[in-house]
Amino acid sequence: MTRTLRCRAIAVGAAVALALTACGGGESTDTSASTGGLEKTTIKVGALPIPDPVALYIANEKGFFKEEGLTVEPVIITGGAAAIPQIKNSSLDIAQTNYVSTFAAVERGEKIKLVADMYQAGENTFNIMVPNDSDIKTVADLKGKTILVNNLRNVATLAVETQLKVAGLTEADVKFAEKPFPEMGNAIAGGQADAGWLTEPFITATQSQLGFRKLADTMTGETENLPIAGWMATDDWVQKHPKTLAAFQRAIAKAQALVSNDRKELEAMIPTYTKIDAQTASVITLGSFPSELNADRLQKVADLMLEYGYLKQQIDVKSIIVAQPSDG
Amino acid sequence: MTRARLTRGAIGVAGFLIVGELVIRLWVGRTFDFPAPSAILYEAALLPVDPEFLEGSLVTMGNWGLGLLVAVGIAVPLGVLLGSLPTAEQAVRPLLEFLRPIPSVAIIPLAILLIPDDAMMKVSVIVYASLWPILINTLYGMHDVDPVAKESMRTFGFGSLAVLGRVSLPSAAPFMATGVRIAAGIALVLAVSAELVAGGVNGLGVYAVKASSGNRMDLIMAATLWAGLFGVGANLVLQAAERRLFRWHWLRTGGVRT
Amino acid sequence: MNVLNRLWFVPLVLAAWEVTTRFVVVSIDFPPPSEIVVRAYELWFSGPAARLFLTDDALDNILPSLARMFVGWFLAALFGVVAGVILGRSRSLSGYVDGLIEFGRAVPPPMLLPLFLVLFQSGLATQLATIVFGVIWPVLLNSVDGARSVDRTYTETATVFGLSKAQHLRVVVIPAASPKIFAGLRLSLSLALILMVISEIFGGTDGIGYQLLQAQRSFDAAGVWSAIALLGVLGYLVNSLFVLAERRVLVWHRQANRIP
Repeated sequence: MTRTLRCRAIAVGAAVALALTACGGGESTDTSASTGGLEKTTIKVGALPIPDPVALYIANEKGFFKEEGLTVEPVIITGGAAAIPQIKNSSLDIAQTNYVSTFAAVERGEKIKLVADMYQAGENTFNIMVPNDSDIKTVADLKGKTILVNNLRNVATLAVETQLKVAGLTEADVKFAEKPFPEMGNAIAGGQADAGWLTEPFITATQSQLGFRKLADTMTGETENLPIAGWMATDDWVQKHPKTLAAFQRAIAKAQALVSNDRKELEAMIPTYTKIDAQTASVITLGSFPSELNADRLQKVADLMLEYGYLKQQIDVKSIIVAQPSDG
Repeated sequence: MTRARLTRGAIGVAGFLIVGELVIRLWVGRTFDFPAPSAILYEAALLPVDPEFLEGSLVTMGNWGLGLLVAVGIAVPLGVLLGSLPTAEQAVRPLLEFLRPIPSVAIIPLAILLIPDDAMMKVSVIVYASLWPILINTLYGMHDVDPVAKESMRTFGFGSLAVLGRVSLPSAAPFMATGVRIAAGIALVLAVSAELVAGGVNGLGVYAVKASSGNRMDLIMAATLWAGLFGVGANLVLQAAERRLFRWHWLRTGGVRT
Repeated sequence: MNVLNRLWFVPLVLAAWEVTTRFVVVSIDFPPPSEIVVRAYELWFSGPAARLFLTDDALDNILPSLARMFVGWFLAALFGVVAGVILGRSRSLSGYVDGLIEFGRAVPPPMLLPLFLVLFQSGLATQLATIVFGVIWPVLLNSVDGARSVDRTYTETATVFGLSKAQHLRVVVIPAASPKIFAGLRLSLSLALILMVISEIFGGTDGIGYQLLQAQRSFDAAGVWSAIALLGVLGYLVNSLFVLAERRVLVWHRQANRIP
């Protein structure tokens, strides 16, 4: 740990000059005997404490990573966009991301690659919820109302806009405001907003605790089975660690397949890394966990983003995907 | 702490909790989904046996302590230096006044970008935030020194350094101590906030992030309660140290002793 | 010129910064000051001359932010000084609430947002509550400190002269405590700015902090730095105003302690 100690000593000087120097731009741990010729045997992977990245934890628990000679340290991140700086400066090797954030970042010049698929929306996984006594009965009634989303200019607003379009409205007809999921219910109940875009476990929670009802499922029509989340890494990292990446991809794909086939495994794993208890895990509605990145599916996301003005130019998704090598 | 004070304190806390329970159960609970103090206290009592929480608390406290120490190590000498050299202080003042109000919360995204090591990033943010109260209070203390005392020392032939060591520093020390105490509180806020923004492997704030994603408001509030308790603990320790070190100051000012 | 005298160091630092970001450390997240100034201009200062060159964006964000900050600070100052002086002089009263104060002071305000949300409901009230809650402690602490540590000679003199409780407070305690009170007020002013930003980042819908967040989200590095720079400038201006005011009020104190 001399590296860390040295870094801390530098912190003193760094803080004085207020020039926060990067402490050696990146960690490269063991270059010594790596099994199967992996460039790196220990990697840090960032994930949100939600159901989506369950495969990561299953792969760890079931030894899929170990089989590949990989040791994975999960790190809690607070959002896909928040993790981009962390993969850029190598405090994380791979991180969870949502596709909308990724494509927006790529358009801005960030050099990111998508390395594995994670989560796809299903029915009733992302709903617009309103109080039971609200006079908003259809999506068209949202005109002039305030809708809460967890992040602006992201999946939430995109999905809502697709539903608005069906009802003949555009984003200019509504007001979006940002609030973290746990506070949305109370904010709406208190009158700060009229509706909220929610996911589990908040859909179930607002229904049972506050008596909300579902106004619309935002993952229908244009957004049916929308790919939501995946795993990302920087271009640089992908180039420098092809074998490590392949090992990760294989293990994750195996775990995704397991999760897709066995809901019980999923439910058993979720309480171990999130604060969603077993009972809630058994009743919440979840999407699907694809085992492979599919360029066509992802292109749909990019095209939607272009259509609704989230992207200024067409993005060819194939150039961002790092497919899993077909051998082994 | 006398018996009377402890009893009064206990009454104050109990009263507050009772009012809180009533307010939340009877008024807030009508429209909102929010845990009552009793539920929060229950969860809070269970947290110390949760290894994840314990580990997390240690990590956060560690960053906090380290950041505070580094901040003291920088701000006190700097404050003394600037306090004794008016021209230097004048030159640097505008810079300080410009940098000081910049919220460390805003610095967090920047720090994430520039500092790859997670722990060091958080410590740096904590240092940045803690510098200012200590620096400002040290400067105030240096300016508040009794000029008569300084003059007297000078007349007796003592050099600047001696005047500094025998008059200015002891006089300014109580101010510095208050500054450190204030900084300790701010440092804790930053330690937790940095985790709320940046995540991490483990920590108090990380625990709150997990609880938040799982819609466990009671756990968030329980963790908040513990954060507060840690802060109180640190403050008590600092206060006790302050009292011991500056006994002469209390005697001189004849302040109301607690 | 006096102003030149005081500000010579600043351009030096700016020049060094520009050189470093253009030639030494070049990264899209570390834009040179010239770029930051341009971005700030675009965002806030390219409006019509009649409105002091402020853009719509500026009016919609900077003004509400400042308003909330000042109101929050004022409320905190009011409660803090009054409560602080009372508690500083009354041992029994402070006995009841000391524990609660110590606890409240230690709790990180962002973690209390959900609670304030249900207590105060409106967005504005929640934000003000967050600001007041975070800002009040230095004022309170320093006021208590100041009120408690009145020099014994003053207190004894007051007793000899037979001053009433109220007179004692007004003539002896408050003036004697005012340096510390002002130190606390000044500290809390910069804290008010910080808390204002916190209240806007964690769940706001407008303001400088909100703009900062949006810039970070859209990877607008120059925007992030602009917002940070703006906060620094505002803080500097506000603090200077405070120092001016303080100088007036504490003229007697400075006279006494002035370095010849």
